[in-house]
Amino acid sequence: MTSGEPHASFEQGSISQGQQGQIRTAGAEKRNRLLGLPLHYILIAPTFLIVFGLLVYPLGYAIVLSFSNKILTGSVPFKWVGLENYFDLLEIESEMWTSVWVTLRFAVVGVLFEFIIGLSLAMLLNREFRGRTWLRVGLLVPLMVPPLASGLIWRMMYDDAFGIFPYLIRTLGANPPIFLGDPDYALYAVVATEVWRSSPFMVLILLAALQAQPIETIEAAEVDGASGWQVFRLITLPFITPVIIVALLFRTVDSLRTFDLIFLLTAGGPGTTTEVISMFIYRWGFRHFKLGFTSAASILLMIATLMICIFYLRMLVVRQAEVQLTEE
Amino acid sequence: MHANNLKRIRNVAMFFVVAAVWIFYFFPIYWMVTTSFKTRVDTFSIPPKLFFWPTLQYYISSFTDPKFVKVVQNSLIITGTTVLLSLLLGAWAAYAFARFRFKGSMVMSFSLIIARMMPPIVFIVPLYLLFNSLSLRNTHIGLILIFTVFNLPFTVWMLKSFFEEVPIELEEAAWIDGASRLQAMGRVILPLIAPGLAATAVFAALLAWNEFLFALLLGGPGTTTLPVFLSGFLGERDVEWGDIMATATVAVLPPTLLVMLVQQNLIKGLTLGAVKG
Repeated sequence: MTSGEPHASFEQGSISQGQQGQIRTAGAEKRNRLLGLPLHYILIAPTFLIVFGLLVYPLGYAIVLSFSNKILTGSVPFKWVGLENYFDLLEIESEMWTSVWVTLRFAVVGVLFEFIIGLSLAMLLNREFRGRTWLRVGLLVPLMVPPLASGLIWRMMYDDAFGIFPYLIRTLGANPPIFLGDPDYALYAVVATEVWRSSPFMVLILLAALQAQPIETIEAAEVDGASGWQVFRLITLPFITPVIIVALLFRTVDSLRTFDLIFLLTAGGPGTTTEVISMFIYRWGFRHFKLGFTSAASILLMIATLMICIFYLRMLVVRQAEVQLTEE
Repeated sequence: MHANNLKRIRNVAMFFVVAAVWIFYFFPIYWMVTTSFKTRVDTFSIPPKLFFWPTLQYYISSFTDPKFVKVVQNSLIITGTTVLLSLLLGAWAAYAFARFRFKGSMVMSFSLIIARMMPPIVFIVPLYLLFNSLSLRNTHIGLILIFTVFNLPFTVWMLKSFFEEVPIELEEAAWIDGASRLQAMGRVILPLIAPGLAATAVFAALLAWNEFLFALLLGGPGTTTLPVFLSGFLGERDVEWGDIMATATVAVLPPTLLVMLVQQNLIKGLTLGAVKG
């Protein structure tokens, strides 16, 4: 099969041969071409042209820039600096590590809470109770709020002068911290907002997985005298593990890209205590205008993201291999 | 008797858990909406007022402000065009991936997923320079193009999964009647996956409507969208929360209503078709 031939593309339905198969392939040569070119290439061409122009080409450009001292405005002459930007970023005292540490805490604590809340609520919603459908639909609402607007809402609720949280703490007789201004609390105040906004995503995905589980296996286990915890650990959990991995992958990758929320809640402050990696790149690119340096940081972030994706996908593959082994 | 008591305790516990969940997820929304109807005095009152005499002043002042009307227009134009463009291109590519197997089809479709996973900030510096040199900065078309690119992984994968659910036999029947591939796709397949198409459109709309990073850095005064407009409030010295929350409510309302309409297909959209809802 070479792709230049008319029959290079096989049509997915043509499993059968003989008379039916002949009808199916009749005229395929003409049907699968447009203006003399294979139809599928014409169909994907616009998508890939624009993806190439606006994603792949810029990425290449970023790699090239990362070896230079390019500055957006200013009088420093352009010069190739080799790997200097990378050395600056990776050296021990580099500010990047502070930012990496903030990002790690933000992602790990956030995703962990989202997962715990997500799984508990999914289990809750998997049971019958009054108002279940309402609650399920209602959970969509925080998900629809633009990250920016959710930042504004929570900023108002955290506000030291008239916010509802400091007020509630005061009525309990305690002295509230300045949530977004205190280096000890700011990051966790941001995480709370993110958990509020994103945990419904976990709930809905895990609920979908729970509901796809065949009821017969659970009933059979219960007949055999398994306790609720045993059913969960030995039957439900293995069944939903692939979905858990997918959900964790999406949430981890998304927390690496968080920008809007932090831009609005703290803008990375106080100091750099909430400066996640996206804010770090934004600051160096659009406050200090060091584009070469920023490009190098972007490339490092891209590599880190790819590694995280590979880590989760490997988990998924290993998991599937295990399932196949136990089934054999 | 004893079993009955146990059941009652359980029901009460359940009630409190569900109530806590509602309060956690809904109080912030409630607070946003009510603040938009509060006068300045009510907003800043201590203790915070749960009940108050509502005012429409912030909505009236917003919608009579030509600047705000322009912002809503920008958001609508950019979102609308982005949705049309991503559905059109996305449907073609999705059909090719769903119905043909060709050299590089796996690599191409998976490279779209990788593009989805990349933090957008990675692309911002080169895109900024590129947009400057092509004079695309501060233009509607520039934002539409960039939003479309970041929508395409979603639309392609979502539509691909919908196309794959349609049996090929239906198309074959149309071919036998003399329809071409594209005619069969347009007249037979697309009407069948209309609900999926609608869900995909809502998703694309949601992403474009809420986008902030590119709208902020690649846009300009002529293309200010709602999120960018919202972020501008905080620079002001005297923060008028009623005004901010009225704008936020306007920004939240359309996507929420749309998503309620297509919630059946939501999970598929959230995970690029990896998990079915």
